[in-house]
Amino acid sequence: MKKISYVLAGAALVIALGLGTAPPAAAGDSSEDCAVCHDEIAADFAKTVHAIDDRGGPSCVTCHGNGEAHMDEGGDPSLIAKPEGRDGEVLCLSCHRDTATMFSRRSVHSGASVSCSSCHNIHTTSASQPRMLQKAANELCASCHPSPAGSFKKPFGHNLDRGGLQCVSCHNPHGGQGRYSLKVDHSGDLVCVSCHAEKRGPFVYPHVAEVTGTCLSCHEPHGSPNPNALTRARVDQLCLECHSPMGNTLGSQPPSFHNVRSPRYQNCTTCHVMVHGSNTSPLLLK
Amino acid sequence: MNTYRLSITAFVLLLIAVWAPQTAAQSTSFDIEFGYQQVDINGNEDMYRTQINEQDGFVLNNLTINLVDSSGDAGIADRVRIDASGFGGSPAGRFRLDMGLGDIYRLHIFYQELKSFSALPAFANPLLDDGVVPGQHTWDRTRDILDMRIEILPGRVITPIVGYRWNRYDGPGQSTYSVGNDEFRVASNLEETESEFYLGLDFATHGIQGTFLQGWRDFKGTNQQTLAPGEGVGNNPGTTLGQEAELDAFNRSMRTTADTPVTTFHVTGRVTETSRFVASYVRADADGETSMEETLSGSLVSFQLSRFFQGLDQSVQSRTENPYWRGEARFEWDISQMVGMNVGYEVRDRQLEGWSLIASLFSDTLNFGGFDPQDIETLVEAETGYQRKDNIANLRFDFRNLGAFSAWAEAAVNNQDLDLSADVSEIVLPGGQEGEYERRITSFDVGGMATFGDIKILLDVVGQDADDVIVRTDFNDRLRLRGRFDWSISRVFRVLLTAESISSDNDASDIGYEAETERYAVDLNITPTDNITLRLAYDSYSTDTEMPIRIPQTFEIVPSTYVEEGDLFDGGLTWKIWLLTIDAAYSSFENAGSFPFQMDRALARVAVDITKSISAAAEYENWDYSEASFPSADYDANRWGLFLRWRR
Repeated sequence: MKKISYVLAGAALVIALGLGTAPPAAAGDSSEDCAVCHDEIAADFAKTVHAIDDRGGPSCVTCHGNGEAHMDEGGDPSLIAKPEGRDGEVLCLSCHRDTATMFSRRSVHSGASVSCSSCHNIHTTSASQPRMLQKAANELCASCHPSPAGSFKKPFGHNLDRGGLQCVSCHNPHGGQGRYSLKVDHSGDLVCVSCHAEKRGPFVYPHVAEVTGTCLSCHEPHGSPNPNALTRARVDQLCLECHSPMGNTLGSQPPSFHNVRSPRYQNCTTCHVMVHGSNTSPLLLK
Repeated sequence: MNTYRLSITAFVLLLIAVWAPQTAAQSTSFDIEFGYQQVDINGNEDMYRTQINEQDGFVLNNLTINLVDSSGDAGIADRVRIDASGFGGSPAGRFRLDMGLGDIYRLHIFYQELKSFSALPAFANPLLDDGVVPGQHTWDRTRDILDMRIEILPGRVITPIVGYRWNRYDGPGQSTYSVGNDEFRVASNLEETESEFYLGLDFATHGIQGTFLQGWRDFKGTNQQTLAPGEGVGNNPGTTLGQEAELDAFNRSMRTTADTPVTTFHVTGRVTETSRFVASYVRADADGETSMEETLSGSLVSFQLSRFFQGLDQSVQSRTENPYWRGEARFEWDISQMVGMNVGYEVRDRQLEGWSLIASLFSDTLNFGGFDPQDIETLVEAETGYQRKDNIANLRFDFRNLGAFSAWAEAAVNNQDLDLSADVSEIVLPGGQEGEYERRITSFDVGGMATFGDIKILLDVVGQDADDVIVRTDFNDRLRLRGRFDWSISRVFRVLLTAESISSDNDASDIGYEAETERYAVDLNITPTDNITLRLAYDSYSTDTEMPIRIPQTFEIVPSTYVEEGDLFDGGLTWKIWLLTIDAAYSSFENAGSFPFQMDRALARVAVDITKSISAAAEYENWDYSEASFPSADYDANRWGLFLRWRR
C-alpha cells in the first residue's frame, strides 16, 4: 500500500510539474499581417504542424522577428530576419529539444554546414513527405551521398523500395552515437539488432559481434555483390582470413581434416550453422 | 500484428480524415495510391525471390493522410499524420502514425512487415557440383516490427514517456546438422519474439534537458527441427570405416529466453551562453537461458568416442549473464563565432559469463572393431566468458564563417582491451581462442568545405593508426580520402562529383593484410523546364584485398585475394506533359571481380490525371540478373501494375 502511495505521489508530482509551467504565449504576434502579402506561404504554412499556434506552436514572428520595419518600408527584404545556417539551427533547436540533444558538434552534418533547412521545408508540408522533408528521405540522402545510394543497386542487400527500409532506419541524420551517425538502440547496441533481434544474444558461445568486431566485420549492409551481403564471395575465404593464426591474434585454427579442396569444407556454414553465436554448441554446430 | 487489422485501421482513419466535418482552421489532405501487380519470372525463381521478391497481388503504393487543426479547440488530436506503403504484393510494408494534441500528448506508432526469403543456389552448397540446388540453408519467413511511443505533456518541464517495441521473426526454413560424420538437412520452424516495454521522462528546465528511460526487454525463441523428408542419407556418399552414415529420425526442440532491463540516461546542460555539456549513461544486464532436447536414431560414427552408434539423446541447459554499460561525457564550447570546440570521453564495458551443461547419451555403440556393445553417457560442463572495454577520447575543432570556408579537425584515441576465456570444450587446436588482447587506435579527421557561389567543394581526410591487432583482418594503418564537388545552376542544372579512397593494411610479417577501395561517382541532374527532369549517373567501384591464409589440411600459406570491379550506369527521366506524367529509369550494375555478375533494372511508369483528384498509372519493371560463374542462377523478371491514385 505504501509503495502504491509513493507511485501515486510521484505521478502527481510529475503531472503537477508538467502542468505548472506552460510555455509563455508569444506577445504582440503580428503574424496575421504577414499573410496580406505572403498569402501563398501563409496558406501552405497553415497545413503544417507549426500552424497550431494556439497551443504553443511557432508563428511567423517566432522565426522572422517582428516585421514592423519590413512592412513600414513596403516589404524591404533586408528588414526581415531570415535565419539561415547556424542561426537557423539555433532557432529550430530552441523548440526541438530532443533533436538538440543529438544535433551537436558530433553530427557530421553540423560540421559540414548542413543545417535544418537543408533537408526540411519549414513553410510547407508536401502531401507525400512526412516530417516536413523536402523530398522522400532516401532521395534526399542520395542527393549528397550518391555512392552509398548506388550500392543498393547491388543484388544482395537491404530492400529500399516502397515499404522497405530507409536510410534513416539505420542512420540518424541529426547525429547518432555510432560511427557514420549510425543509430543505437536503448541498450546502446548497433542498430542491426533492432530488427535482427535474434542475433543480439547473449550467447554462451559468442562469435565476432561484440567480442571484438561488429556485424559489419562480415556483412556489407548497403548492398553487396556476394550472397547474404557478405564481404567475400566464398564462405571459406571469409572464415579463413581470421581463422589462420600465425601470430598472437584471435581466431582458432581449423583442424586438418577440413580439406578445403572438397566442397564439403569450402562451405563452413554447412556444419557451423550458428555463426552468429550458439547457446548449445561450443563449435557453433547447432 | 495483423496486416489485415492494420489495413482496416488505416482505412477507418482515412474515412475519418476525409469525411470529418472541417472548420475553417482545419486542413486535411490525403493521398492514396493502390492497385494490382502481376509478376512474370523467367529463370531461377529462388534467386529472384531472394533478391527482389515482388509478388502478384494488390499493393498499397502509398497512403498519406495529413490533418492539421489550428483552431485551438480540437478534441482528440490537432494533428494526425499517417504514412503507409508497400503492403500486399511488395516484400515490405511500412505504416506510421504520428498524432498529437498541442502540448497535451504526442503519439507515434510504427509498424513494418518484412518478408525474408532466401534460397541461394550456390551459397554454402556442397552439392553444387552434383547439380543439387538450391543450397541447404533456405528460409521463407516474415519479420514484424511494432514500435509505439506516447509522450505526455510534450515540451513541459517534465514529459512522461511510455513506449513499447515488439519484433517477431517466424516461419519455416531448412538448415543442416552435422552429426555422426555426415551432414543432414533438417526442416525448421522458428518463432522468435523480442518485446520491450519502457517508461521514463524527458525533462527540461533552466538550461538543462535530458531523458531518462527504464525498459524491460524480453526475448523468447523456439525452434522445432526435424529431419527433412528423404534426407536421411546425408550429404556424403560412401562409407566411414565400412559403415554408411544414415539418419532414420531426428527431432530437436530448442527454447531460449533472455530478460534484459535497460536503463538509459541522457542529459544536456548549458554551462554558459556559448558552452554546454552532454552526458549519457546506458546500462543493460541481459540474462539468458536455453534448454534443448534432441533425439536421433540411425547408423552413425563418432571419432570422439571412437565408436559407431545408433541413437543419441542429448539435452543442453545453458545460462548467460551479459552486463553492459556505456558512459559518455562531452563538453562543447563555441569559443567564438568562428571556432567551436568539442571534447569528449566515452567508456564502454561489456562482460559475458556463460555456462552450459551438455548431457549426451549415445545408445547402441560399438567400437570400431564391432565389439563391446554398450550405451555411453557423456557430460560436458563448460564455462566461458569475456570482458571487453573501450576507452575513447576525442577533441574536435570546427571553424565556421571563414568567408567562403568552413573546416574541422579532430583527433581521437580508442583503447580497446579484450580478455577472453574459452572453455576446454571449445578448444580443438590450441591457440587463438582465449587470452588478453590490447589495441590502441589513434585517429584524425581533417576536412573542409568551400562555397564559391553555386559551387561547393568538400574534402575530408581520415587517418587511423593502431599499435596492434586483435583479429587478422584488423588494420594497423587506415587512410580514407573523400572529396565532393557540387555545382548547381539555379534549379536547372546540378552536377555532383564524388571520389573516395580507402586503404588499410597491416604490414606485420605474419599477417600482411592489404585492402584498397576506390569509388568515383558522377551525378547529373537537369531540369530544363518545370515539367522535365533528367538524371544521369555513373558510379565506378573497385576493391582489392589480399592477405595470406593457412590451408587447414596442409598448413600451407597461400594468398587470399578478393576483388570487386563494379560499374553502375543509372539514368532517369520524369516528364509531365498535358495530363500525363511519364517516369522512366534504367540502371545497369556490372561486377567483374571475384563474383562476376550483371544486374539491369528498368522501370517505366505512365500516370494520367483523370480528374483533378484522381489519376491512374501503369507501371512496368524489369530485373535482369546474370552470373558469369553460375548461369543457373540467372533470371529475367517482369512486373506489370495498374494503380489508381486519389488525392485531396
